[in-house]
Amino acid sequence: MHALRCDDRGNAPPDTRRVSFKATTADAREQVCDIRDMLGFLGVDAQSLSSIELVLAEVINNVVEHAYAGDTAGTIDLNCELDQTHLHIHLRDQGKPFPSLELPDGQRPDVDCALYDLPEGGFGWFLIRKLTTSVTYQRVGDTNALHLLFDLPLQAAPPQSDVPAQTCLDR
Amino acid sequence: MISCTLTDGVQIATVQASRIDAEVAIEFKDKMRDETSDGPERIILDLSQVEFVDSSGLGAIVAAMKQLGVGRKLDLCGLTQSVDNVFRLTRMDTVFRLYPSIDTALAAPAA
Repeated sequence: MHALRCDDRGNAPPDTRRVSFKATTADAREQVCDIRDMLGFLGVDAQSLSSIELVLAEVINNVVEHAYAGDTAGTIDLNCELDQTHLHIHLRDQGKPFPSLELPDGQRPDVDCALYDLPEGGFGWFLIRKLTTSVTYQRVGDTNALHLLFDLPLQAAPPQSDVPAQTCLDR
Repeated sequence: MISCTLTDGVQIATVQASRIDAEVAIEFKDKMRDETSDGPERIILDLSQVEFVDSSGLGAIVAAMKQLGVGRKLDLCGLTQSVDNVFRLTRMDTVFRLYPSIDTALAAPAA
């Protein structure tokens, strides 16, 4: 690992890292932790690191569970590019496309309902959209290409959600 | 992964893993079911050793609460900063009672 180096004009080229790994929850966890540690070493602040780690876990888990639907032989390619003010993460896999080739809108699941109606899922895309500056998706041939952008340092996410909640079926 | 003790008629379930994520979410649910299938009305889940919870982990904690059945309560304590953030962002802090520590959780009046 190396810190950002400046050229003669004080411009630092971005630090990049490219990894490929198997679509298993164990590999996912290892990569999330490695990348978080690397970004920390490169000077990303603790609060941003926490959000980045969570988003990485969510998007990678999404590939493992949905794109590859548990096919642990699948490969995930991840490319990170960090400069002074931005982190770009490119994630590629050869799994199933998103339905309608669109990302989930990530509305916050409603938790204002009876305890036994509480959702156990649906939080992933809400967190991804909340904690990234942008997230975009392209299907290129048989490849899913996801691009995450984080403006650094990340703004602290406010406790109040500004996304309207989906309603629960029953209260 | 989870060790339990009984204090003042309250079950304290301490998570000894540092992450409740996709890799261990099912194991967590299963272990919680084993540990809490019988027992006191109130369970306090001590998350002070947990540094990371993702949406899978959150779902597993919700499932663990539902597994208790009617009339029993799951409170949480010791949430670290990043775990606390996940609960607040998702508004799960309005669903679970969150305490800074075991002591404050035990000192709280019954609901």
